[in-house]
Amino acid sequence: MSEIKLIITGTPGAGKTTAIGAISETPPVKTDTATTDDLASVKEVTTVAMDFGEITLDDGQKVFIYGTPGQRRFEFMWKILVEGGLGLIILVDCSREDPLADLDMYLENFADFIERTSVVIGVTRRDLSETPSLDDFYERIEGWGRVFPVMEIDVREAEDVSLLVNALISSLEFTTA
Amino acid sequence: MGNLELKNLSSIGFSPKDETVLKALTDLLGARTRETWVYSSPEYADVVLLDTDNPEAVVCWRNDGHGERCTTIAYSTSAPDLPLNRRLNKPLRAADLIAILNSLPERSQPDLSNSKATVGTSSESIATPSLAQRVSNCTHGYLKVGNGNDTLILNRSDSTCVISGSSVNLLNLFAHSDENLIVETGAEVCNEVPSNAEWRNARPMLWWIGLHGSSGRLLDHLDPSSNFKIVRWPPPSLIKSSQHYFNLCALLSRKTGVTMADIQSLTGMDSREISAFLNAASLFGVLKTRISSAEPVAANPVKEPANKSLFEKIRSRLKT
Repeated sequence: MSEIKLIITGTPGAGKTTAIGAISETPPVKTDTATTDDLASVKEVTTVAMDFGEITLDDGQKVFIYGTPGQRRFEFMWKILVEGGLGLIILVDCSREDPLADLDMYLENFADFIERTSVVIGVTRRDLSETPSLDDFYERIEGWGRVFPVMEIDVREAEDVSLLVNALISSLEFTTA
Repeated sequence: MGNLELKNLSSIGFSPKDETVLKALTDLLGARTRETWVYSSPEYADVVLLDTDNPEAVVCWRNDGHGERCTTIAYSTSAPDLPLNRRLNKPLRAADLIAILNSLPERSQPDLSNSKATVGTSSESIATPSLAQRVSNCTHGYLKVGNGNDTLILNRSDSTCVISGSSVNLLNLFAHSDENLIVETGAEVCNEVPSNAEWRNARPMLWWIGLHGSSGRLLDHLDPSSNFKIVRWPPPSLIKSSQHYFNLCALLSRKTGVTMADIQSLTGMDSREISAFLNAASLFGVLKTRISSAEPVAANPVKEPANKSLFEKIRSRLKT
C-alpha cells in the first residue's frame, strides 16, 4: 500500500507544527533546533528537517502529514517531501512584512506539484494584522485559472485545520479531477 | 434565448447621445436578454430609464405618472433621492443594461416605493418571485423582510443590515412559512430602526437568503445553461454546515466553470439545492457566469476520481 501524505508548508512561524499537532493522533514528531538568526524574536525553535503527524482512517490506513521547514535555505527538502504527496497546504503568516510575496514564493517553488494536485492557503495570525485582505490573496492566485481556497484559520483550533484539509480534499476531488 | 414576447423600453430625460446609445444597444440585445426588447416612446413603455440627474425629466416622469404605469429604472451618476430600487450607473454599458433587464420579474410591475407584498405559497406562488429574487431585484435602497416581531432590514446600497425581534438567529425568520413573510421596499422601512441600531455587514445574510429563500428557483438573471464559476470561496462559517457546499465550491472553482447540468451529473444533487447555492453565491457577490460555447463537462463520460473512496475516508475521519 503506497504512503498517503499531505504536505504543509509556509513561512517560519506561520504555525505548521501547531497545525499538525491540532489534527494528528500522535504528538507531532519534530526536528526543531534553537533559532539563532532573525527568527529568534518570533520563535525560540524552528524546524530544520520536517515535522510529522498522522491520522488513521476507518480501515486502518494511515495518512501522514508532513510539515516542511519554512526557511528558504531548506528548499532542497521541499521537493523531496512532496514526492508522492496528495496535496499541499500553504500557511501564510499575516504578521510578516510581505505575506503576498511569501505566498508567491511558495506557489512558485511548489508549482509543478500544485499543477498535478491542488493547494489550499491558510491565512494565519490575523489577530496581529488585518492586511492583506483575502481578496488580495485571491488576486494573487488568479493567474492559475483554477480557484484555490483561501481561508483565515487559527492553527491551534482542530476544527479550523480540519476545514482547511476538507477544502483541499474537495478541491482534489472536484476541481482537479 | 430571447422570448418572442416584445417588451417596450424607453427613456426619459436622456441626452441625445445617451438616447442614441440606448437605441443602438436595444437593437443589439438580441438573445442576451430573456425577453425581446424594442425601443419605443415612454407612453407605450413597459420599462423606462429615467435620467434622475435631470430635474426636468424627473418632474415630467412624476406628472405623467410613469412610476405607477410601468417599471422605472434610475439612470444616474450617484444614488438618486427618489423611491426607485433599481439603478443603472452612468455611462450606459451593455452588460449593465442586460443584467438589469434580466433581473426584472417576468411580468414587469409598477415599481412603487412602498409596495407591500406577501410571498405566498398559494397558487400564485409560481408567479411570485422568491425572497432571494426580490432581494436580487432590489439593487439599491432599503428592503425589509419581516414576520411578526422578527425583522431584517437590508441597505442594498452599502450592503449592511439591521436585525431586530425575537429571532436572534435570522435563519429562524427564513424558516417561517412564506405565507406571512412580508417584503417591503423604500426609505420608510427605516423609520422603525432605533438610532442606536447596529448596521452590520449584510453579505453573510445575503448568502443565507440565497440558500434558504430561493424556493428552488434560480435567479432570473442566471441562465442555467451558462458556465458558472466562483471567484473566491465563501468563508468556512458559511459552508461548513454541509459537505455538499464544499464540493460545490470546488466544482465551481474549475478553470472553465461548470453548467447546472454538469453539477447535477457530477454530484447527483437536486436542481433545487443547486439553484439555492448558485443564488447564494450570486447574492454574496462571488459568482461569475459565462455563456457556454464548449461541450458541457457532463457530455463527457463521467469519470470517478481514482481516490474517491480515500477522500471519503479522510473526510469521515476529520469529522470525528
